[in-house]
Amino acid sequence: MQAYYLFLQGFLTCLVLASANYAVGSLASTTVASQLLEKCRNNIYFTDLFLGNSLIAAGIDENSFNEERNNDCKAFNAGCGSTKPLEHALILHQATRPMNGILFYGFFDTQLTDKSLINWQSLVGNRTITLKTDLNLALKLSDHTNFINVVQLQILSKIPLFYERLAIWAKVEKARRKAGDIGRNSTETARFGRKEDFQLLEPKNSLAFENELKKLLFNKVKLSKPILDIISQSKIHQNKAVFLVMPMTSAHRTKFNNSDSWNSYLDQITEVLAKQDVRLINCLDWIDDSLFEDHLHLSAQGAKVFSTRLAKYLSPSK
Amino acid sequence: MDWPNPYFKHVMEYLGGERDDQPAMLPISLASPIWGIWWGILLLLVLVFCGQSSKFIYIDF
Repeated sequence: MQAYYLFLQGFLTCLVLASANYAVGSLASTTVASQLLEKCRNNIYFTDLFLGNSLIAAGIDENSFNEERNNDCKAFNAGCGSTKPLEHALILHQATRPMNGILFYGFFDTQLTDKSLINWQSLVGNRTITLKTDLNLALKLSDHTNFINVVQLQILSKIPLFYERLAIWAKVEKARRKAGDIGRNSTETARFGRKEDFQLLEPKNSLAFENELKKLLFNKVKLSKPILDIISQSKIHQNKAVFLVMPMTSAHRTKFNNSDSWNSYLDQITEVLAKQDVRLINCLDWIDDSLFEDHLHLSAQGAKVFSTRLAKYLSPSK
Repeated sequence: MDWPNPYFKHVMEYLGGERDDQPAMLPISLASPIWGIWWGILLLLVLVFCGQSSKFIYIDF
């Protein structure tokens, strides 16, 4: 075969891939992460901002919070599932800064002190916020970056076909699950997917978690770089910052939050945050188990109850 | 395993790049530019179906 034909065929292969890349890049504007970033950039008006992962996304009902606070209050829930503090800091950089409002940051377990790591394998789904906003800032806020890592991420950020791969896989996975459920009782699902899946997001076991806590306590608890950035942004824009230990089921609390190590960890976190002029509210046991829809997330009713209780808690007398 | 239809096997092997001799009634020579598009489509199919379905992935956020 003449080289000309081979070249032409190679060119056409590249053309197919480039077209698919363009199509995926255009369609990706409808992903949850893209829509959230669009909202943040569109200068929507709000006084209080809620930031965090799916616990905040599912756990805050803006209307209930607004109603309980007062008429001037307008909350915006910028929680985004399957994200880490690094993405939360980047979302905050995109958001219109509320004047004299409150920045709420919801977390669970050791999220405030976990190392911030990014690599091309982990940046999928909503974590691609890192690639869609400010990669250079993301690299500054992450630990353990090296030259190869940086080059990989710079290249990756230019190829939507690759970094939006989870959006494609999710569609295949949904079809696979549907097919898998044919002829048998379907797996129990809730708003965010299969209920049993969310157990995998908890620590492996209480002993592993206890050891992790002891390690953190031994080295003195230090907030991660993205968390420090979130606090400094709230200070720059003269917002109060309030950190929330998000509600958990009694099973989770018994297994992971019922030890001296956890109490010491929380004490140290409270102290470190207080030095930064940040208030910590421990909401771990605020919500009854019946108001959770899976191992971690509040149901819609649970979100209403939690948001109302939080707003009441923040009333001037408290 | 014996293929029930040797012609079908021949076509599949030709499309998959294992054989170079063109099957009868398939008017696509090795020099055809269609191969470029075909390989592009195959690469996309690999990408679409290479997700780790056995591991938990967030699909509803």
